[in-house]
Amino acid sequence: MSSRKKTLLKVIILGDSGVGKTSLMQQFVNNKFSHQYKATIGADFLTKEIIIDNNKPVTLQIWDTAGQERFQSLGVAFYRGADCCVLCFDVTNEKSLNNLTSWKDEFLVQSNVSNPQDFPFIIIGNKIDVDDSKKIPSLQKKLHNITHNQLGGLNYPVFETSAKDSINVEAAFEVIAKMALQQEELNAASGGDVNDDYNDAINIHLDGESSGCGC
Amino acid sequence: MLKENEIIQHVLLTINKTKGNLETFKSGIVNGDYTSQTPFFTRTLVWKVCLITNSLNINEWESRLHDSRVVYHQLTKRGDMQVPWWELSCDHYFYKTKEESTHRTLRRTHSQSGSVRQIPQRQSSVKNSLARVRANDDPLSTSRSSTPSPSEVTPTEQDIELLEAIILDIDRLFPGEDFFQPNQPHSLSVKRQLIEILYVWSKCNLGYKQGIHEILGLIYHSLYKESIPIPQTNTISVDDLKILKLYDSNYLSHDLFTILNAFLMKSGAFAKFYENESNLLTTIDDFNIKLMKIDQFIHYNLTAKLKLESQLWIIRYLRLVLLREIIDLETTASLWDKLVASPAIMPDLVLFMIIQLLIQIKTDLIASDFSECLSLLLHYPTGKITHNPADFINNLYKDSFKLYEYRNDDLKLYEYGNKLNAKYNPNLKISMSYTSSGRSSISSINSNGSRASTEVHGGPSLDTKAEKLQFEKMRLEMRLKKKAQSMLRPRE
Repeated sequence: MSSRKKTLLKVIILGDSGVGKTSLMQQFVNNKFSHQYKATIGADFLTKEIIIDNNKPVTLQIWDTAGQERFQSLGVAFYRGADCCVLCFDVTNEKSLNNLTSWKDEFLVQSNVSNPQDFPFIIIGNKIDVDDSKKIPSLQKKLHNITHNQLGGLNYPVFETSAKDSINVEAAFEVIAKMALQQEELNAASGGDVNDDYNDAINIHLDGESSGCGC
Repeated sequence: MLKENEIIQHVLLTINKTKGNLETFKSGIVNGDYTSQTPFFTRTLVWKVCLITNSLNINEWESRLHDSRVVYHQLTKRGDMQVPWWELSCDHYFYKTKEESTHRTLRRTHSQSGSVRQIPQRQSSVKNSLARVRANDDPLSTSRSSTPSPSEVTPTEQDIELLEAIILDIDRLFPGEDFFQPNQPHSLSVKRQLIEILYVWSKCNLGYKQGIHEILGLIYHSLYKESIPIPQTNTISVDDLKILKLYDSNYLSHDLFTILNAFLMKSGAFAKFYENESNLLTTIDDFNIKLMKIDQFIHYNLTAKLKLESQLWIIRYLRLVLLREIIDLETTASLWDKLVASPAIMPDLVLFMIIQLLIQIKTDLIASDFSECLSLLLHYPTGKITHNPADFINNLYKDSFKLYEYRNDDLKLYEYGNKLNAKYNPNLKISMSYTSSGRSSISSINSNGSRASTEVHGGPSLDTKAEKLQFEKMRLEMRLKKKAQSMLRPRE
């Protein structure tokens, strides 16, 4: 049973409250955009099976977190074992853009990844469907400054998306999956896989033909 | 929406039925005898009697309502509690000029019911009801150089951020409910009221945390529907007026402020679920220990086998008091009715409720891998709830209250856990085989109980059911004890 190894990629979505993290995740996983999602409390989690590079099936585990509060010790459980981190901002909210660096730092502190220098991050600027007059003035320049700052810059791929109109979401997640897969392979090569104590001492028997608890 | 006569009739029938006895009233609520199925049910009565008036004697209502309403009234008059609507961008739908923003509170003092006008004579009682507001926020305190008037205070950067954070969440409050849709005629004023309550509440209680908005939203939704403007006629008898004042829509905000304070602060829920991370972690540890005592197998499966830490999913259960798990607002409200009427300490009871919810989906939980299990926990299956909401809620309350009563008796908790399993998972049989290597805790138990260990390895020789059960019980208890010791040790 344990011989069949499924490739599981853990992706974390971070960013300020209200930038559209849940919408992006929902749009990607369920291809839907409800006009408004409720505020995420604690964490949320969805998975999607996709095929990358034409033949490689992987399961993306997408972890969505609340943007308002940053938990110090709880964060460890959220971030541990991540293969890729998506930093989100809202193209109409300059503060959310300026906070990207602190979200990245937060992630690195909490996840304790072994290769902070080349850990895969990507940046998503969401809500490009909104009227231009509402967007951050000279966004491209500010974005360029943030991504090309020599000192601790966020020199990562940037995607501008609309979860509402489903623009670029699929493409962004495809890149995320590829980057995560590379990271996962890197981890596997360095022997970081400790999760093989699945031989379970407890057996479960269901009497009769009952299939599940009837929920 | 209830009409005046209906309100009066419902209240009088309820009082008559319970003989005006508060305890009878409360036990009727928790036992499921007084629910939205009851023809004369009114939720306002449940919440306001349990959390504000603390009495079914209508003669006591007026002064108790007044004492609580005056607190919010005073707070909103203070300059530093003014919601800075004027700091929003001018095209924001909540924008108001500074003049408009401060005018509104003045109008309040001229409100029709007149009870607020008596404030000066009642200051002593105000102090008592302010107990939950932090001492240095006491509007009557002299330590502040007298209450600043609205025009003197300029909001700080944090005030504006607070307002923006609250607006962001109120704008996405229950998007599925018609009541909160932006196209509803009352939408703007409802949201403005909610924002103001949260703003004042947050300033009194060290800030705003996401989740509180939904708790307030649900209570507001429930009580708004029943609130009415007090009719301006002389045809209402004095007693009837006393009843109607409980439903006064003019004081909906005031009462909600008090209710939110009681439901979250006095109950201890804010301290345990929201206040800071170390409290939250302590609560989660407490949950883990309780779960292990009641259903060791779910605990083992989640924490040891899947290494799925409870904080990944439980924060939302706790902070929203099961609101998202139970899905629809009416059903959640019916559970919360019981919480406010229950003699149990609310946050502790909620922990037992979560355990009961886990036992109900145990078969699925233990047959899942990490992803499936976490998905299941974060998207609690609603089938059973929607099938028969009233039964579901009654069982949830009764089962968890029993557990709550046994909270200091580990053996009873364990036995009741078995009972719940027999009830919800009759087809599930779990057999344990501790023969695999590397289980030091088990081998030490075996050396203590050598009789039992030979029997279990002998397999089929264990034929009498009673003997088998006896052994299972002893082994689990020993393991439980050991586990509990190892979990408790580092905390001391």
